[in-house]
Amino acid sequence: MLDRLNQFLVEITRGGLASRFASDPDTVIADARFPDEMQKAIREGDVGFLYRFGAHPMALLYFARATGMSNEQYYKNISKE
Amino acid sequence: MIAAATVHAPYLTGWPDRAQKPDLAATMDGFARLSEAYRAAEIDTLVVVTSEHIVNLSPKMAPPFMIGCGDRHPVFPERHFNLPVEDIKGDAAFAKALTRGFYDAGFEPAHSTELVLDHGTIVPLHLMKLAEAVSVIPIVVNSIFAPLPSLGRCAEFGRTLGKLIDELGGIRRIGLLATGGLSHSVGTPGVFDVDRDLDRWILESLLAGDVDAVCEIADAELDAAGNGTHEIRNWIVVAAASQPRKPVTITNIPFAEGWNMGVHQLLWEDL
Repeated sequence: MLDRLNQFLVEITRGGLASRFASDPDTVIADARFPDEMQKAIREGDVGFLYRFGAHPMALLYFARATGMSNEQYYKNISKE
Repeated sequence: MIAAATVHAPYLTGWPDRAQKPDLAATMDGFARLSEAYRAAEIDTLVVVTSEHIVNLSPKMAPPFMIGCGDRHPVFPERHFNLPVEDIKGDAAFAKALTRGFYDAGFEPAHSTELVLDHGTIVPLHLMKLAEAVSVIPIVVNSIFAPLPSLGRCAEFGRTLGKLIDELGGIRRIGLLATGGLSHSVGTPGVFDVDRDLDRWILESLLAGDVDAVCEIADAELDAAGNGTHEIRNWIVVAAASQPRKPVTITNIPFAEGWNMGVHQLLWEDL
């Protein structure tokens, strides 16, 4: 599932799903059919959860930026236990 | 053939004011000196061995090497880093000839007529003010989605690149450029760290012309120094292509406060 998560993060930030994700993120996330916990983390921009799950750091950083998170906040969030 | 290697961090253009003034001045002076060297060599073509940041590669498709064979190369917009977004002129005929040459030599790089350039290429082109002056042939080395090409394989690729440029360049005046950082991290908690000892050892090895020594670094050691450190593949390609010449140091800032990274630049002068 990790590869699929990483590809999904790419698609929603700079790939074919980017514009749809920007306008209707809930539907795009639901359509991806990740487990509930993962869907919740993506929906809430919980980069700490996604980082600990093993998401690709660069894809995750770009996901954070796409959600409006600053670099400083991103690094703070992934460092939380 | 003139060649250089330089950092490409987007902070250079995005956050220049975060650096200490002497570091900013030394960095910009380094880019100016590299630009001057390329101009003095009167190059009309620049082969850029570079990394990209998920604008072409992705988990579902990540070739080890990819050559941009377009007449023009689209640019991924990164206005937040104060970078231009205009297409960059390519040289499709020479890029395709290089690609065919690689296949004949036992390498099978991917090739793309729509390879997208990002800050990995645009930062140095912009700071050297070279984009208008030359045709660019980008060669992307996968440094982000493992498994990655081994450092030794990158050196072999570079030696082949050097031979192909000599054989196929014709009347073109060609320069080589590697872009990328030494030790650094992207998107991980160690983002503000560099491994100064590793950086110093890599630079000393390259300055001594000992590319093979650098190729003996294990991927695990690069990982420990930071995931971005895998970009030294680009430096290895250009160093190997430039052998037996040895480079000179243009810029060596082990750690630039504010940017929180090293700033390193080497030049292999034209003979």
